[in-house]
Amino acid sequence: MIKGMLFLAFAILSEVFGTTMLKLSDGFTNLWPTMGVGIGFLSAFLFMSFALKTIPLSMAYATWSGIGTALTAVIGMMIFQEHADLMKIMGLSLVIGGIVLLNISQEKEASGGS
Amino acid sequence: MTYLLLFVSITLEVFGSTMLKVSNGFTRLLPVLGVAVGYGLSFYLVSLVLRALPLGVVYATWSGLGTILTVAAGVVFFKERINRKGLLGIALLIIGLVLINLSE
Repeated sequence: MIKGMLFLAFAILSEVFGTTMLKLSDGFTNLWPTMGVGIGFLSAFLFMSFALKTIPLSMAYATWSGIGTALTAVIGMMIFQEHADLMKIMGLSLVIGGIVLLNISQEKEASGGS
Repeated sequence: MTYLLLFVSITLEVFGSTMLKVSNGFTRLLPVLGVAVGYGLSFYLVSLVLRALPLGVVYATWSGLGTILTVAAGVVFFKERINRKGLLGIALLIIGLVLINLSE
């Protein structure tokens, strides 16, 4: 389980790296960031597949997209000087809560039902 | 126009992840091609969207709307069911996405 969490953490970091490179690639016109996109997302999927050996899918996906959304917003504000106001931060919190809730509800349904 | 591109890219991503499920662990050719084409095009379109919209907003919209559509695809195509907690999650997501995009 600890190992799975570590793999999940690497998967999330790789994905956030890939997404940041996606922004820097400027529509796939910059070579190095475009390669960074490929490397970032491929390692994210690889680490995720290792993580899924011990962590349930919906749990992993909820953590992945919740933390991914928060980290990406922080990177946007810190590296790309994207503005932050109360409305945006409230919106981000609701989105993260909604994603986590929705994914966890799928888990309960899958294990309890058919 | 940018929002149209974003919406198409989200739809392609949901198509890709639905094909991932249908591909049955990468053992069926056509769904595997669907995964590659779906994700490839989706990433390209997002990179275009990111030229015009902030990273934080695009990512939140992409993963939020993507999650809603993936659940909807599960309900429509794979007869999965949605409970009260899931509906509450969708409501929070929609309010949050509207707030984020209005804040721009």
